[in-house]
Amino acid sequence: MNGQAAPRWQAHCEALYRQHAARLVRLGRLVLGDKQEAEEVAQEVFLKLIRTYEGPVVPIDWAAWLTRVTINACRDRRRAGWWAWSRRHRAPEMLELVDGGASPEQAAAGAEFGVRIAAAFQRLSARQREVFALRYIEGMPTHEVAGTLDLSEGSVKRHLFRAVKYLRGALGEIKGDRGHR
Amino acid sequence: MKRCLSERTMWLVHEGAAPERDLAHLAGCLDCTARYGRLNEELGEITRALRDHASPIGRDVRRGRRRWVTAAAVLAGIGLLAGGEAVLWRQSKALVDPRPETTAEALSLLEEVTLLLSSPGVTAASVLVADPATVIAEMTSPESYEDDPIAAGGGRL
Repeated sequence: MNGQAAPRWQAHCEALYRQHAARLVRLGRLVLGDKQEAEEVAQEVFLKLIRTYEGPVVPIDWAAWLTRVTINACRDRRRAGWWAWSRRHRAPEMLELVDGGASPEQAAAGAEFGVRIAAAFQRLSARQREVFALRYIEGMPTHEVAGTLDLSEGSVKRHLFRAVKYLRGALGEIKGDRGHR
Repeated sequence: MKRCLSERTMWLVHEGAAPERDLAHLAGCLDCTARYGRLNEELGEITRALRDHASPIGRDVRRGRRRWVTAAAVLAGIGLLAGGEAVLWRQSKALVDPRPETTAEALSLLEEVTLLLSSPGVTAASVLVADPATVIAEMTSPESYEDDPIAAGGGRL
């Protein structure tokens, strides 16, 4: 009996990993602003997934469950004292975009643009980052974002609007700087 | 007079949460339509940039830089090791194979040794124990020939 259940369980976990791992790393990276931390969070989430699979209550919507657990794991990290300390003493993450089709100049310009937008994103409050990432990056409807974050829809809209306003302002500044060069 | 839509109302339109009258205004106002188009475009740009930036295919420049630093440190280490080895090798060679100061000195030494070994009545032990200068003086003195039976003609038949 167990011999038959294990492969099915493994196959489902592997399928969930293939389907959601990249998405969860990206979400964690946006919320925490650190790639390595995001990868660790994703690993934690999939370990939790295995434990939950063995538990008495199995979620119906695994995608929503994984998103919620990722957000909670990110919050736990943020609450940890060492995390706040290391974040204060660390340079902002610098990334380069990999774009096979672009020329080096275009890639550099695109990378700089991405870095500056990401830096502006990291200046948002944690809640604003969460709602923005879930609504616009993950493409969740507002009511689902509210459900995932245990917030009211009005609160989600307020955070979202502030985040959008701030990021549009930052985008305008970045475009202004590029125009002056 | 119709008032144009606020930024928040414009965003609510984008979210599909604006009332009918605001939608009607947007449909009939060129200025608001242009602003709405800009909002859409900018949100798209921001979302794309963040999605690409946070995507796991992004390459970490810091990590790349760290890799370069590591490679440079390894190369420097190898260079140091090779340099140290070369210095040690030279020193050990000098100990094993000491070179005479000059060729003239070496030649005179060889000459002395040859003379010493070819001289009669000089045993290896006496050469080793005695002072070389004394031995040479003894060998070159006429008395030494007198003692030698061959040199004194004692060997003649």
